[in-house]
Amino acid sequence: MRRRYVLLCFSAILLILQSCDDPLDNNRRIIVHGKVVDENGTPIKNMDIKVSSREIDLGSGISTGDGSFEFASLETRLDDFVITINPENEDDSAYSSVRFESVVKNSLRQEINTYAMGEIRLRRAATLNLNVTSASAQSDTLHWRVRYPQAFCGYTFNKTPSNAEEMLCYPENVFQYRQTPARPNDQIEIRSLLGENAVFNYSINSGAEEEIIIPLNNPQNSFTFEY
Amino acid sequence: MNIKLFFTIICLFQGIFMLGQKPGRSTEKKLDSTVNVVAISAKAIYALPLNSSYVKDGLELKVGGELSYNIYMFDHYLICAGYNWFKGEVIDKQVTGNYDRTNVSVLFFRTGYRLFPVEDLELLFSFGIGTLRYMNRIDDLDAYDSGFSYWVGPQLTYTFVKGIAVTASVDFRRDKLNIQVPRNFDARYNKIYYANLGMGISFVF
Repeated sequence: MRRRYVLLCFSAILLILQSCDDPLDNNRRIIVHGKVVDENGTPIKNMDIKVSSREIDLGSGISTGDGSFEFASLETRLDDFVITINPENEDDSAYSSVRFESVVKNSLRQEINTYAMGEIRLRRAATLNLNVTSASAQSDTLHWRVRYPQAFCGYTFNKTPSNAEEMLCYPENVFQYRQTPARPNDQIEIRSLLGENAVFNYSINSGAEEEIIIPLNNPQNSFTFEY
Repeated sequence: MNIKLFFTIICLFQGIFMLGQKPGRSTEKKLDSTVNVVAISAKAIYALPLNSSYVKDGLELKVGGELSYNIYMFDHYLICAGYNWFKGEVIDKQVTGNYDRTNVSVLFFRTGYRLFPVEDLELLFSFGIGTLRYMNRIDDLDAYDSGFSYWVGPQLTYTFVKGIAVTASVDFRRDKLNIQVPRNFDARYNKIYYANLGMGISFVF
């Protein structure tokens, strides 16, 4: 009985030690290089590039004046491996975000020491500040939604990102809401692409649905809908 | 692991020292070729990176330390085991990879030959070699780079009180790491040269 207990404890300790194994690869660096340009081929400087695996940031770089970048990154023993251009995708970023996701397992990445990204084109981003306000004293209910392309493009790649396949580029996002007398006004900010349209649909008191096209012609756009 | 190995080596050295001892000869050790002399040294070291490497461009190195157990045999010959370490803060993650700091440690063996140009002053020329580890930390995660290190250099020791001496040394050190990188980056990541400046105190028994 006692012997079995000792064996059990020993196995548990082994399991704990196994689970505490660091996910980072030892004695390993990978080099990531490429160039970031906009739709017109103009180099983009100070653009962030990040290598990550799950929640772990393995490496990061920033593009220089001619849009090129080259940096060293750690590697991981995990299968997940993602290279993201403009990773924060913050509201004030002037460009879209691009994500390259490896589909090969870690064991097949062992021999890859360089990730040549080639030329990566980013589209210019635009934000829309959308205000929905009630202009009447009546107790109307407004159903509305806004559709817009997101400033994001995703690719998958096998061994080299230069042969990446498009997975999901600028997917449409829909934001919808209902204004009631208890909450007659609302304001949201959406992030989309410069030169695209946001489509605003609405219906008052469950009436016929109307549509308004909002062109995103400037980096910062504003639209107010009164009902 | 390294610490255990360090103490094992120290025990072996202590054994060598004991073998060399002769009863009744514990005094008048200096320049008595039949007696081994033991010295335990503690040193502050500063590693100054020399060549263009990821260490020079991406790390800011701090003052480290060295502990060593030295046996002088036949008056002039040194064998020594020791452990040295220093830390580095990452200042450019584009060069190093995404970690915040590194601890560099070497478990080493050293041998040398010493001269006595004037009384109480000795000049030692030594060669050291050891196993090396750069332990890189990012938050609570670790990844290490390993290899071996070797160095040559002179050391001056001045005995100012019987049994206590101060030392100053300069070593030319080469770290050979085993980091897997593209071939054209090999020199930048795997061949690191330092001037190791050291200053410390030695207790002679």
